[in-house]
Amino acid sequence: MRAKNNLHTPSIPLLICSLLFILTGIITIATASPAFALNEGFSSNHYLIHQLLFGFLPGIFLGVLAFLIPLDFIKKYALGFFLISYLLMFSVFVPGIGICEGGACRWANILGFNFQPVEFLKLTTIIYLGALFSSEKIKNPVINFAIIIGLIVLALFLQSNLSTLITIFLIAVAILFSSNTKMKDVLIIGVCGIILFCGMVFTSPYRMERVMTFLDPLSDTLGDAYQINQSLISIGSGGINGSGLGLSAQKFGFVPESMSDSIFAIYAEELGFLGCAFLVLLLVSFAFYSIKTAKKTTPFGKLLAVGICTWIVSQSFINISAMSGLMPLSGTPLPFISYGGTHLVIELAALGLLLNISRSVNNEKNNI
Amino acid sequence: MKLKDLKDKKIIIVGFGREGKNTYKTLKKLFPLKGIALADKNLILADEKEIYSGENYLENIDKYDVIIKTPGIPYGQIKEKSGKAKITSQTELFLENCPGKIIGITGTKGKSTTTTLIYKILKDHFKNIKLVGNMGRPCLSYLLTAKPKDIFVFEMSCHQLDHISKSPNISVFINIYPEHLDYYRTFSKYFNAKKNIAKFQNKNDFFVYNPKFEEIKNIKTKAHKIPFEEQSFFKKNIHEDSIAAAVVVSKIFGLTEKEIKKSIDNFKTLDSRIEFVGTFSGINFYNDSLATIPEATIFALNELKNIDTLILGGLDRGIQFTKLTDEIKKREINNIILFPNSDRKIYKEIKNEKINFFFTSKMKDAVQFAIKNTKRGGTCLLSPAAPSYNLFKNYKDKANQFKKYLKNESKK
Repeated sequence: MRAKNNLHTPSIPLLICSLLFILTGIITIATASPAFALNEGFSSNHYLIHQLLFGFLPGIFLGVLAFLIPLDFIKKYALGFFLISYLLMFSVFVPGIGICEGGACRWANILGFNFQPVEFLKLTTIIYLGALFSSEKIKNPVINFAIIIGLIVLALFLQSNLSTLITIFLIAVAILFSSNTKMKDVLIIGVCGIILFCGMVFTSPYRMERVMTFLDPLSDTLGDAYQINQSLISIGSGGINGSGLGLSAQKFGFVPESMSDSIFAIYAEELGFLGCAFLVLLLVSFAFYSIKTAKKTTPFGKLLAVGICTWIVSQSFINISAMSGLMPLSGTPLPFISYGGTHLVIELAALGLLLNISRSVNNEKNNI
Repeated sequence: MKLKDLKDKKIIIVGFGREGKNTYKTLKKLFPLKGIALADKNLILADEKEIYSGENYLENIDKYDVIIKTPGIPYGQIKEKSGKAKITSQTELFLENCPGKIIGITGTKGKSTTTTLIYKILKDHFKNIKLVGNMGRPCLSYLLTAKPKDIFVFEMSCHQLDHISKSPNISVFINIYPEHLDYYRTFSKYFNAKKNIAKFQNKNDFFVYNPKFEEIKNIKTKAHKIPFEEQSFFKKNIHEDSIAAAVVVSKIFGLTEKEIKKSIDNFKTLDSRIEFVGTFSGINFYNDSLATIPEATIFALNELKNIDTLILGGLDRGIQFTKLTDEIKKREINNIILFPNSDRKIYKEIKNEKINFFFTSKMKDAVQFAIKNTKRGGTCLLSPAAPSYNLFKNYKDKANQFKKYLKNESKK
């Protein structure tokens, strides 16, 4: 009963960051989705309503749940969570449940709900790694780590989802780095990761193509380079102030995936450099306060906070870099902002968890 | 159908006009020793064994494996007699065999302007841009030398789009009004022919369309759909739609608004559809002889002020004039000059005692009447709302006669 009594207010800056993420997400979907909806023959607010009903609403509900649940409970069942979500990863290959699109099977349909199991895996991997590396009994961290990552590589390789693999790998290395593992081991794992990554790029023709397009974006303006060129035009025409909310010209079909993966291009066009600076600043403050929280909490809470922070921030920057031509294109959503229910629900749940962790910080302070 | 598959087939070219001759020339270059049959209503002068002409020129087409038809001959007429033969056309052969990128432009009005604009803008920024179809050379003349990096700007009429099985990489659909009903009889048939421009596109292609037309907006295609209304920075121009469409296509090629604007500004001839001919006897004369459908004439009525005399009429193609006559009734137009054979139809629908009607088939009389009756300071507009083939060679001939007689009459 001790824990319950000592939990008090969560970190206020993190709460503000969370609310700003939600607000930015709603506004951006509201302005980016009507053009897309009308083109598909739906009413203009079709996707906004869908995102509110199947993204924000369940996400906030799950976030509150994650905020209230005792951390010890999560730690206790970490392995269970991980295994369930890992098994779900294979549901996409089950006929009648899995949905394949453009050569990749990443969606599952269970009880009428379409979702991407990989999003669950991101969060459960963080929880499981956090639980594993915060326990003092762990003897051989590198081998344990290699087994877990090996399992994840297998699942993601089958879904041919390299961009998520990179995100999960970054998260895992960050957790490893923050735990009591030796520096030498972290380095070995990092190098192995890079070798694996190169191997996956060179063995897949479409990834090679994306890399080649990245190196020479003007090569084929109608083919592979089309998306990145249009995205750059979009970001560039935003200027300092942007064209104004709702006034993007590029969202009317020029930028492919303008509501999901490429939503940053539309955001940048409408809100300009200042809007982008705001988003980057928001991410940086989020990182700052997450790490601050991590420093003052229990070992498990620390690793969880580092993991969640690395996840949100790295995935955001992977998306933004890809859209602005600093990295080859990849199909990662922009956390909190891109259209799509699954990633939003899980990200909001993670925010709830982070705020939950930040409560135990305050509680330690109070004890002193 | 791939070109190399034609090698062992018995081929007949049906229709030996400009396009038919071009098809023949191209096929001869490709297969110099192969005999190719030709069929046309008119006499054909060619060094071939199998030639069919005269009224029954379609009688033997079922003896061939492949029929290459020209756009002028209705599909149904050929299908009736073709038996098991495969019917194709120059346009279809080009679409199926061209290694380069094709931009296809269709619509009822503004096709030529849009095609020219796209061609001019892209030409300012890229090499390898070719103009094909009605405006440029027939498409097959380019096929044998076409390279993957070439870009073809292709104006496509509904006749060319009829029964094709492949769509262009970028399709532009400007607008749709009931025209050509003499050939297609019903609007839906005409529209179905045009829809082919997007029907066979895949997800890497682009469909650029006018969202003001519900029918066009609802066309099903796998391509990226981009509406062009919202992007125009040249509003209030009579070529608004054409410019907006051209802007979208140029943007797809990665050009910026600044670059596009510069190219459009350089393209001056654009303003000459409603052409100010001059002031004679205090009357302002305008020529809009390219307006061959009622919508175009309504457009001109909205553009100009003080219209006192309107010159209307031409070949009757079975379309309704009620929209136009309603617009005319709303205005204070005092004189209407009518050319046959749509003259009676228009007259019946307006029937107003205050209006001075004048029926003629001679441009000279029309001009004399206009000068005599139009009030000073008023405007006289030539905007037929119908084609001019029955009395004049084409719209250009009509315009030239209009200008010629105006100058002669004003000298007197």
